[in-house]
Amino acid sequence: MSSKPQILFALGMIVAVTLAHALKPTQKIADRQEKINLETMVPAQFDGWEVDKTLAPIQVNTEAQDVLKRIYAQTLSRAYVNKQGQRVMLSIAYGNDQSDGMRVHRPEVCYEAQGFQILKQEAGQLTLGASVLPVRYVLAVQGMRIEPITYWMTIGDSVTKPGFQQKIKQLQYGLTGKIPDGMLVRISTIDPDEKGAYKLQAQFAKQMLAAMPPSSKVKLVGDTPL
Amino acid sequence: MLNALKANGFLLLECLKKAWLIILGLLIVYFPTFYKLSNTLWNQDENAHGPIILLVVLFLFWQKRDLFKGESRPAFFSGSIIFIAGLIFYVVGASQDILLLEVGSLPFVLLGLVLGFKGWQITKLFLFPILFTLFMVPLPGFLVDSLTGSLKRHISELSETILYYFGYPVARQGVMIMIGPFKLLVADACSGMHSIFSLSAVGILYIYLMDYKHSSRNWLIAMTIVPIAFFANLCRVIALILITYYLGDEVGQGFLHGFTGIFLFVVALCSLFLVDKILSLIYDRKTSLRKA
Repeated sequence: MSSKPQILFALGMIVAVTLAHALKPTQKIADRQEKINLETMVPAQFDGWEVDKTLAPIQVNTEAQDVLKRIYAQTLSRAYVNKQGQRVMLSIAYGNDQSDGMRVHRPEVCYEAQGFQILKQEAGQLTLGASVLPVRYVLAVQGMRIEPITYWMTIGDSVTKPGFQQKIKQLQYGLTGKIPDGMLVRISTIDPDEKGAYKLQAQFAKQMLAAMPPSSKVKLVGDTPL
Repeated sequence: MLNALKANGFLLLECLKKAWLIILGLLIVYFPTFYKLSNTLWNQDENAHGPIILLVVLFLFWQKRDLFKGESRPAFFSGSIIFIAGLIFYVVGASQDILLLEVGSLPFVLLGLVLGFKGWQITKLFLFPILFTLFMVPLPGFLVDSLTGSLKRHISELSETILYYFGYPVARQGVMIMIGPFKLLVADACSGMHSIFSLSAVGILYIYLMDYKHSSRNWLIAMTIVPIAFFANLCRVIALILITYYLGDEVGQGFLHGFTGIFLFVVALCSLFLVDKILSLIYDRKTSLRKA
């Protein structure tokens, strides 16, 4: 092999390695924003719903909790009850580092990891006033516990469909040197009536968002115009 | 033996001396990648074939090292374009933590290098080891998810139908199979997605190593790989259902669960060899007839 092309190719490789290092995103979007406090951001009482202290949403084992702490900056788990005695569980996870290695875990995955069986998962839409929120419906079952789930996630400042679109979004931020934050909002009920449960969850989401000031709402559903 | 080892050592030194810049470059680029893989992906069951693929590729390159010595007409321009494309994938993949691109850059970089130094003639001879690196590339999540889902459904439906046909008290709800008092979930791992992937790698390596003259024979073997992997996995799932039915839940989820996994692989490989044996009856006769 002649050595001149060798030097060129080797140089190319060194440039590539250097570039790969230089392009690693370092700037956390979350650091430039106001600190988020999920506990106060989400109202404990709104439109007939109030926090139900008698029922705790599914608790995770300590090992999982360590993982959660590492991945998420903040989590919020609450159960709400309304006048008719209907109960809804709300779980929000906020992570300030949504680069690929630390991305939010999708409920399909973490419910299954805790022994639930995921019987169904499909994309859906939640109509909020004039706009539509891309959500996912998941049906998790463990023994007699049938738990329909509605969830959505945000990357940076917009709601993103999990999967391919999420990747593209991360890439958009990443290539400009930014590390986006992200939020996963999960609403679930224990209810064998799947259709009715999703309807109740949609209603709950709408009422909750309507009761929040715009500045907090933006954190939960991004720049989706409501 | 010792002499052979010595000779190989000399050869290795010689290679290093001649191409040390390129080898060093490749190490600087890909050592961190493989180090990362060995700490993450390669530890998972479904990607455990990764390091084996890497070893096979290294071995195949080593086996063909003599080809690097001969004179050739380098295709410097085409080679460097492919090489640069590969490096761009690498830069995006490594900086953004996208393994699909980071590992997926390897075949491009290798292809560009061989082409750039040795030209098209020699590159053709290295095409197999270069393309074989594709099996190291982790499949993108959305593809795995959708394939796994549909495979799971088919596996559940088929096992229910077959067991029902043989008179077992079996019912199915989605991917949940109820047999007697037991409820079994056909999990993602049961889809056989990854055994299809790794068996394909083994099968294609087999075809390459056997080096049959008839390309139709190669195609026939290649086309049987996926169906064989699928049916081997179906047998595994049915076996697990029956083990649970006769011996109980603990046995079905215990060591036998892992054992049936190995069993699946052995059965699938043997079926592949059997297919080849049958094909050899046809093809070898053809050849001898032609000779006569």
